[in-house]
Amino acid sequence: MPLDPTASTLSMCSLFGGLELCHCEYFCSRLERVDLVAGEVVYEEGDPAHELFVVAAGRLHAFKPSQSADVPLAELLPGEFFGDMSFIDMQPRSATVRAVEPTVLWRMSFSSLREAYLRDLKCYTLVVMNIAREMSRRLRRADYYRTLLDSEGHAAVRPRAGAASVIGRIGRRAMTLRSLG
Amino acid sequence: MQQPSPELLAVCPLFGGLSSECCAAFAQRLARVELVAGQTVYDEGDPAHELYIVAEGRLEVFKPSLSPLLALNDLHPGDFFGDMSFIDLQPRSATVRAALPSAVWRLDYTVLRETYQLDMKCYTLVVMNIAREMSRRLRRADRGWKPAQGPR
Repeated sequence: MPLDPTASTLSMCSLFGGLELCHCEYFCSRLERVDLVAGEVVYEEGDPAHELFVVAAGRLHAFKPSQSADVPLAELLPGEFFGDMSFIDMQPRSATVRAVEPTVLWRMSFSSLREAYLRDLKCYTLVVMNIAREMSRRLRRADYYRTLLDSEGHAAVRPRAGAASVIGRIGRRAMTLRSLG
Repeated sequence: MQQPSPELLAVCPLFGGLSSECCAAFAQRLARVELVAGQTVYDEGDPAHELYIVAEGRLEVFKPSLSPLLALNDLHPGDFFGDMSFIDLQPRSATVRAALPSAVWRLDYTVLRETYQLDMKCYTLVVMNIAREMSRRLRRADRGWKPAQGPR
């Protein structure tokens, strides 16, 4: 993907799937490029949330920080989006996200999305449907991995976490799906 | 009572934030279904055409293909289910079965899709409510799995 957002590349991102070009142009004008070095943190678990992000290039990890060992949740690759759960439920970030290599993100403020609600309800509705569809994918994975646990709530297969879409792609069957946002 | 009152619907999470007109319109389109204990609403893998709101009783969610005995979730009055297939057009991800004598209200996906044409704001609010519930489920998954026997 090009490193700066264009309307035509936006239409290839699942977040903006189904949108007309004029809608993509609108969102394009609202996206801000963010360059990260390897190891840089986008946000931390518990942070107040005001933006969501599309991965333009690079790779990031989402995890739950823990004193013993961080719990890996997901690997995020170009074309994917994250930070969407806080947009939907207005809760703080559920996880920490960190770049594992030099990475380019496109940042969109929640207020730009809410503005779309007033400007063009259909466009807003499509984006919300896209977010819901992605969450549904993550949940179907979550249910699958949950059934691998024994009755004590321990993993029958030692769980490691990862985003549904990523696990699906690379077939890491023993990873537990966790959420992002 | 074959149809719920609009006031009752307004306190269900699925219809939160909707105008009383929207709630009244949905109330007319809901069909009540009575279930005996052990009766199945739908099975994992079934094609999906409706979502449901629990009116009375308690239901349990299973994934028989993987673990026939492990209840993934309990559903109580006011809760809704069958929403994921509406969003992603996939077959049922799990089996839902009445744990007690129960009653549910059934809402056809076609009614929801009609709402998209007739009143997009109302439709968008319902989708936001579904997304919020999915987000809640995902955050719960984040905190770690708990056996279904425990309190919710």
